[in-house]
Amino acid sequence: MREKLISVKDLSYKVEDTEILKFITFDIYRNDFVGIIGPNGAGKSTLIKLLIGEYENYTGKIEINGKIGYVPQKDEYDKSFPIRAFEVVLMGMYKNVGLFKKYKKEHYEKVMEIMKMLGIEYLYNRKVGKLSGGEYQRLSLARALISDPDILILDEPEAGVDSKAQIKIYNILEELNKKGMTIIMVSHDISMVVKKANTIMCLNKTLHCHKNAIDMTSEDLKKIYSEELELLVHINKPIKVVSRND
Amino acid sequence: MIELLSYDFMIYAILTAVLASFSASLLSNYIVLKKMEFIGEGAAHTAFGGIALAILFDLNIDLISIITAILFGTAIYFISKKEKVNENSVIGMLLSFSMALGVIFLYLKPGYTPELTSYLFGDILMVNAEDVKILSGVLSTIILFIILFNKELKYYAYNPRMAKNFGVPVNLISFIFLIIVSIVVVTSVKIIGIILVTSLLITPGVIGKLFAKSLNQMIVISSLAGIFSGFFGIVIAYYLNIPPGPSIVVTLFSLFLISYLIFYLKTKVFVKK
Repeated sequence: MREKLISVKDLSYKVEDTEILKFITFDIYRNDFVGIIGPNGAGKSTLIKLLIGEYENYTGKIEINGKIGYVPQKDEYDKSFPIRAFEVVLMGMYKNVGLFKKYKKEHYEKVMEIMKMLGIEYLYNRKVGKLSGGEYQRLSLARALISDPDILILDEPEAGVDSKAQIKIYNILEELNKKGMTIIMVSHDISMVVKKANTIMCLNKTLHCHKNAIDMTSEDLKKIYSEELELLVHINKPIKVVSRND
Repeated sequence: MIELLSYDFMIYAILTAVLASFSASLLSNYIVLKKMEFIGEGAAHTAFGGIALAILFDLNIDLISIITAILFGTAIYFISKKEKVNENSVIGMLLSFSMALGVIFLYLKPGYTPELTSYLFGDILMVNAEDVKILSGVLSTIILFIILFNKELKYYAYNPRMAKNFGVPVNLISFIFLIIVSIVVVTSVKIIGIILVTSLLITPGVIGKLFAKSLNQMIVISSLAGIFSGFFGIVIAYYLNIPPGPSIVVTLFSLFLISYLIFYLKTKVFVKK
């Protein structure tokens, strides 16, 4: 039987009187590649923040069985901050070191190893303000991966990066998933999600679908998007989503 | 110069100015990086209320202003933790409230209050061996704080939200930091003055940020700028017979202008060639 890493049951979340998420139930298993799609304001980022523990005061149950690595939508940081790339990645290992202790040689070596794996070792000593959007995104990914997570959660990894960098990120994620990493990704790029992920969750306040990517239909998209979208399928595999209004 | 060091009061003035400037410079790095420049102004003006209270009731001014500082730091921390009220709004409200109380207290005090201008702009004659001891203690605490919490302070300043996600005790760091800033401000006002102490909590950090590649480099550069201004500010104040606060601030700002010019030439002119 596959190992269950995340189990969410009847999860609801409110901010003051506004309902953001309503009765959400799902399970995620080891080696899943889950794509969460939904329109703006659907609660996608909120769901992620609940999973990583940033938001509390929810009702329902969230059970996490494993370590989470998180890549935020966009790091809010000052471009002129005097901090170098390797220091940002080291932040991901803070829990391994803790208060009053210094990072050791092995930690620095691990930073280099992860940066090499993501093809950004040449950025090691560079000030973060000098990185491009795509480079910074891969740096965030390095920071998330360095603690050897069981589950990698990404909030719109394509935001603010050019299409070439987006493809690089998606390819890296595909590789990681092949090696056994469980991935949960929120994205606006529906075409890419249905192509890369093996499970899709359609979210708009509540979960409208949770199924294998190959079983997705245009009808599923209709439930959550007001725009008329069509899912193009080739040999039983979803390949692209187009807008009928185009 | 030798003549200057033959007076005890000048030795105390130089030592307190250098210690206060060094302490404030160390903190200025995080204040500038976290864009919380208003905090120094708030703490200093809030201290005014405490000082006036001590004058009114003939209490120990050092003790009362340190208590005021701790109350100020704690109030900002707890009120701004609730997201409804922004940190700067809290500082702005407390600042004017405490200034208002200060003015009321001084009006209630019968007779002349000679210390007031000294507190506003600093006074070489107001510091003594006791202040040197207090400021040495404050500086040692800050250095220890920065050494012990070096990586935590860096991540707290860089991105507190992400730092919290990765397990950095951001709330603890933030609380200690606010208290330390408030204490530095109130212990520095005798030599630098309420109105001008803010400058020392900003300018050295700005100078450091112009040239530094890492936070530790920034700390070294800003400290040198602070110590230099503290020392020469007092020497200039002595020879021109002016209050030390303005003299330190003008020295520091001149240093900033020179630094900015060097930075500008380095990045804009030489790079283009």
